[in-house]
Amino acid sequence: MLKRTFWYIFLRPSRSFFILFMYFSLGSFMLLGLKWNSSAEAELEYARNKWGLKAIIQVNAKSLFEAKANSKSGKNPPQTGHFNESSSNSSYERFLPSQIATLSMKMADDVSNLPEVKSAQYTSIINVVGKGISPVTPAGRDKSKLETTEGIKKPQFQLMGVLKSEVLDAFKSNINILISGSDISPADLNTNNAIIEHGLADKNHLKIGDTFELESIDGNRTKSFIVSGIFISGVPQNSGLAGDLSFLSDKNRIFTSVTAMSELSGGFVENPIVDKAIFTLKNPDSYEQFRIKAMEKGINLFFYDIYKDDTQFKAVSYQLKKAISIGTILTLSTFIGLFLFTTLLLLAIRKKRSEEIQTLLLFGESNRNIFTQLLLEWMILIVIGFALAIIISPIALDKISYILKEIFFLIQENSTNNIHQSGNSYADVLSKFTQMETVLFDLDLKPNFYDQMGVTLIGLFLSVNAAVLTLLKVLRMSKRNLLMDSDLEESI
Amino acid sequence: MIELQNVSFQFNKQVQVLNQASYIFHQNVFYAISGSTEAARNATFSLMIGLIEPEFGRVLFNEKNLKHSSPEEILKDYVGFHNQHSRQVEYLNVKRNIELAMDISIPRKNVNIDDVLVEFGFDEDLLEKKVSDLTPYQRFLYDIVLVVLCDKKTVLITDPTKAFNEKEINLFESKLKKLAHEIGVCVVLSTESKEIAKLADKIVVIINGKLI
Repeated sequence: MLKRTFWYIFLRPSRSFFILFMYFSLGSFMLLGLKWNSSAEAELEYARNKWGLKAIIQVNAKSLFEAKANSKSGKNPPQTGHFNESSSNSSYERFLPSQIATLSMKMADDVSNLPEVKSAQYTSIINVVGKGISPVTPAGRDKSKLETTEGIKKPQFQLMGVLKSEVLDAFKSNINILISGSDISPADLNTNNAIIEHGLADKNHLKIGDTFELESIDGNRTKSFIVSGIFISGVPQNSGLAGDLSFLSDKNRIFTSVTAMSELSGGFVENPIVDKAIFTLKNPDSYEQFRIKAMEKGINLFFYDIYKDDTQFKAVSYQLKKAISIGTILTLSTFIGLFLFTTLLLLAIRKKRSEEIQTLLLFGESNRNIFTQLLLEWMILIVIGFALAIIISPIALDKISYILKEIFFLIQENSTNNIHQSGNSYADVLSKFTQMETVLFDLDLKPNFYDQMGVTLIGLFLSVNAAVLTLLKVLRMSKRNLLMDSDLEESI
Repeated sequence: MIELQNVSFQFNKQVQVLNQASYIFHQNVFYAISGSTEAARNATFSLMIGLIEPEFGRVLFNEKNLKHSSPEEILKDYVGFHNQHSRQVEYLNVKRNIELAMDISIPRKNVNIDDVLVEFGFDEDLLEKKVSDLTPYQRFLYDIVLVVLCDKKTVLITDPTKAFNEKEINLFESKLKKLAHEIGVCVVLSTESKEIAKLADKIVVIINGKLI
């Protein structure tokens, strides 16, 4: 029987090659679909961990305004908040000249020690002017003057105090890339280190180790900073900001430690005040637990806002879920294609080989042996086709998956442009797109042993079932009419 | 030896083909069945080898009731054919088709394959041809070679001579007589031609459902 099987395969090379090619293609696409699907699911989990859910604590300015108003009218605010009576020089002084609640780094540190917290980031931001350092301005508007209104100078830079610059969204999503020096990290607390944008450094001929001075907009405080790092920003300089607002541009944003920023803003250096404490949670589902525990640590909701931010994860997960559904569609289509191809082709071949089957019956071969022979021929072709698919296709998969990703991005780029046109800021859109790009291009589509085994087993299961169903009729063929004047095909 | 004992059979439950017919077909004899219709003769062939069961009576094959033998067993070990449908696997050449038949059947002992092939005129060129490319006479020889090599005890032949020339008809007669007398096969030829029937050792006529 084996000899007959090999005769069929090798004496009909074009048909065998076609069948092999089809199973190779179906196997490859099945592998791609399954791998695409499982990788996107793994990447979703990765994104959940990377972008996850952030819990943010910041001072509740609205409540404080109300507290101030109540205070003026003789009503007392709740006495359970963390008041800093001496913080009249804090960054909030522009809102509340006296008796305000502040968020100190110590308070934030207490919360960051909660078991639900994976990492913490503190940020504060103030507007400053330069002393001997010029901001980057749009072309043709370079002659910005330090205009003043009632002793307040027009801001030229934004100084952002951070605990760790590398975990800022702009750095994480590679919109800002550090090109020399080092990030701002907890080691930079109580130092004058700062990182500046490449364009700003170029314009002022600053390099690592050089110093520059910044001054508060009221002109009361001046502080010297050392350039410890230079980053390059991917946001175009003239991305919609008017010349007067060019201090908001990423080119004019300077990052330093929260202590250095606190010094310039007039806060405590030992226990600096932060605008926001951002906590990345280990498990996005533990937000409520975190919130309760933070309140137990003295975060009074009258003075502080606690809210969650999972927009980045949602942006990425939305795209990844789309990728998963593409993988699912591809896999299901291949499954159906495999079943249909096997069934239809075998039906056609069974019909075409009716004379051969009749001959074997007249030679005295049993129906069961003929059925086994036909099944064996098919199984050999399927196994070789799938074997080729799992051996060769990983090479082709790289190229195919790259093309698929390109198509995927082309579609997404159009929808991103639509989002931009609908009023979202360029940086936000760019950030989301870059995150998505990073995550999706990270999809590991190289199949492993288990993927290959999975595809082989599923493929064989589907093909064998289709083949058995199609060839069952051979088992039921009667020899009764073989010698009668019946049409050959009727007997099949 | 095939023995029909009081066999009755209606074709499509309408036409009485055999009616309590009895006959014994012996080895080493060349028979020709004549008379009645081709369908009736083919039905008789099928009854003789158990592919269809008689409504009444029984058929014995080497004294064994065919009812108790499977069609595979009969086709594999005892009966060969020649009719309008060549027994061939179309993508195999003559040589491989013969090899295939010998694989399925039990090969005849004490026979040199090459000698048989040479005797029936199958040289290398002919062996490389597809069966469908053979002339009617060569296809007849191909089937006879299968009978010889596969140790068939009986061969049922539907008259192919309409497509033969005079010389081939003469050779046809000699080959079948050799097959019956020298190799010991029971040769049964179904023909409507009285001239061709005369070539046989014995002529069996179907008249009123009887084999005479």
